[in-house]
Amino acid sequence: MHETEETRFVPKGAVAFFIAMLILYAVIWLATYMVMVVWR
Amino acid sequence: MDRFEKNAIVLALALLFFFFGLVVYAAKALQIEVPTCLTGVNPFQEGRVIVLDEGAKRYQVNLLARMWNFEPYEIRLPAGAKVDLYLTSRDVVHGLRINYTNVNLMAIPGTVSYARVRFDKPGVYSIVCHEYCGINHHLMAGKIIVE
Amino acid sequence: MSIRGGLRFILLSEIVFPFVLLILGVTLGLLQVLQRAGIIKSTSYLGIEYYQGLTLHGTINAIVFTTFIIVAFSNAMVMFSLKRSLKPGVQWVSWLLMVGGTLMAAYAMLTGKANVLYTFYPPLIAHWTFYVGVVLLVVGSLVPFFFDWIPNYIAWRRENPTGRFPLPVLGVFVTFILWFIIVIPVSIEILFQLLPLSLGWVEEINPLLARTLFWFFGHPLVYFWLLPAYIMLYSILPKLVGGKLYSDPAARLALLLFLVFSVPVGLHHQYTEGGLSAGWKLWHAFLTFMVALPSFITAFTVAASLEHGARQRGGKGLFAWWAKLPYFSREGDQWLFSYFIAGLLLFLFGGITGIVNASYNLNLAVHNTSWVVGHFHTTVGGLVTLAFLGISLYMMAKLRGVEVKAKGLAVAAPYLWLIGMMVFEVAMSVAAFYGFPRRTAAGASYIDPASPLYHPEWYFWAHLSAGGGAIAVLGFVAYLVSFLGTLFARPVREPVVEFPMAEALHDEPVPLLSNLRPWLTVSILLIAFSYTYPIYESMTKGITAKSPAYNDRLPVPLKQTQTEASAEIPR
Repeated sequence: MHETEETRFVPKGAVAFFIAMLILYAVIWLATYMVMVVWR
Repeated sequence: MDRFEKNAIVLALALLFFFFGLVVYAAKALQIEVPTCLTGVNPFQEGRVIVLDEGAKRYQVNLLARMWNFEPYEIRLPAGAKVDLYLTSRDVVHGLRINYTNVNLMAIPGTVSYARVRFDKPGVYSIVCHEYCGINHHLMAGKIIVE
Repeated sequence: MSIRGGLRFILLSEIVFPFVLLILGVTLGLLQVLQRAGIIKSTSYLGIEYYQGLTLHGTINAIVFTTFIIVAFSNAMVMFSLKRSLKPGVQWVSWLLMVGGTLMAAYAMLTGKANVLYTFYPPLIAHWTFYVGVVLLVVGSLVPFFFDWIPNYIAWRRENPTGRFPLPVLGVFVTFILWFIIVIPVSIEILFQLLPLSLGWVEEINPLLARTLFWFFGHPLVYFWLLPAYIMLYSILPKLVGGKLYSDPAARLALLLFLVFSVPVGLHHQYTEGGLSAGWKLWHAFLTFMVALPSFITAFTVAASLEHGARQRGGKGLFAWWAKLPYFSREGDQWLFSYFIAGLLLFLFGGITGIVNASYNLNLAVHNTSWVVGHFHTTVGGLVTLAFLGISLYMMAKLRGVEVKAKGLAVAAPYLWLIGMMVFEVAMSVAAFYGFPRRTAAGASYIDPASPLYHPEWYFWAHLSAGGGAIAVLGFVAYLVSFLGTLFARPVREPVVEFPMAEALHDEPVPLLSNLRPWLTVSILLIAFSYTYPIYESMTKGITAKSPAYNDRLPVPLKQTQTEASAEIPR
């Protein structure tokens, strides 16, 4: 059931959120990685 | 499948492979390894520190975990000591963590865990049992004093 | 869909019975966090010892409460989605097994004969009623799947030969197929190792094999908890915000990827154990990264669905639309939205802390520290608990034919829980890098300034985590008021089973995503490949001697105490 008006919805807000999430994840992960490297 | 979903999958996989790449780099290049299966090292019955090479400051520590202390519970080493640490348990499962190092081992009766560690900075490194082992688990601690 | 008599009682009691236990479970959680901060110094309080309370907290909250709500929700969702009544006989068998098993395990835990925590690692051994109770609960939870939902689905399929596999039912089936697969290793551990040792039929058992079998079950167990919450995020949440599920195929793909990657990952709980070779640990680490993928897909798909809803409510811009979501709305069923959004915010941190746990050598920095406790209080103690509390209140109101009472408190509860658990998570995560261990009555040693074991660098963080815990419990009290108000309110309507069901925006049928068989085959092959050698190693090369049974009080094997003292174990 395709509503033409509906399917033109572009989730640009969700894409922005997703990219911000991946960056946040990378920061936290790399911080922990650095602790491990310092403690080696 | 919608193209935005596909992009999300590609981005997520890229991040995960980036992480995994760094993990393998740390393991292979930086020699930060997790304990592996040691065949040929039988669980010892009493803990002690063995001097392998005084000059080169190389030591072996057989650490025995038991209800409710580590044996030996206090280890003195010179700064720069390079230690081969073997850990086992005489009764139930214990856990060993040497603070501010990557030494994090489970002591399972019948198995031996191994970790190599260098103590460059002098100071007191606290050891804590981090796996529940009974009524006095929270009293089971030790220390490594590096002069 | 109306519901009457015995079936209504079963669904209602499968919500109320675990909730009563949860009150004890949450109270013990508060006592624990106060003890860990040294606010309670002694290791026993109100007649319950710290590690006894820890066992109860873990078992009630993470095994009993979760399993009951999952069965209740799945019962209602399958019934509602297929529009076919459940089978009372089958449901009563399941009910009796689950309630009976729980009471048996509760007996063992409450009498202090099962201080083994909810992971029950041998050689520490509990009273046999603990093990038999857990097995009965698990078997009871599987009965509806095989003897009620599958026959119902087959009958539904005959009447709808072309209809697509309903998404929520696919979700329930994936969840319970996973549950059935992983019950096998833990049953082997219990029935062939722990129970015989507990009853004295065998002298000693292989503790490494027991751990490998337990974690074969233990990690997929968290997906057994998580997938029902995901079903709610996909099928209910979009409707609550007036939007549509952004992509039905993506939801199906995520669920089916869990079926493939959830099980062959258990070694990431055993990185720091000798006796298991590092190569296989790295393979399980890789597969754990793959099981993170469906959660990333879910994060994007749920965000897109929320955005779609927010746009319908006039949301604009790249980020401004977030403000248009019904955070504090008490209109109709929208109070339920607060549970999901608070849970999702917690789960955002659950995801990354979980990936750090799984990252092989990174785990060395955080294994068995308070980091792990912070992690799972945002996952099972965050999204899953809030989703289950929300859906329990929702279903109970429908089953009793009443409006949710004290909606203001019902909406406040998840946000208090969010604030409390966020503070708790940050405190526990930071303290982990100072070495703060988990599962430890720190108030009696490490956090007691008078003790020679005092660790000043943990003191602040332990107190901060106690503050966080208290706020979360405040949220639980707010929920309790609304729950009891709704439980005892006078019925005003017919009892029904219904859910606000979302439609999908992108809804193109993808046959592969509605057929379980190929995914299940790949899953079983991957499990066989990933676990054969580690289990072989756990049984042979990895271990040189077996272990006798111990209890938590005496540093000598139980057998020795019984033969020497031949007296009742001192309690």
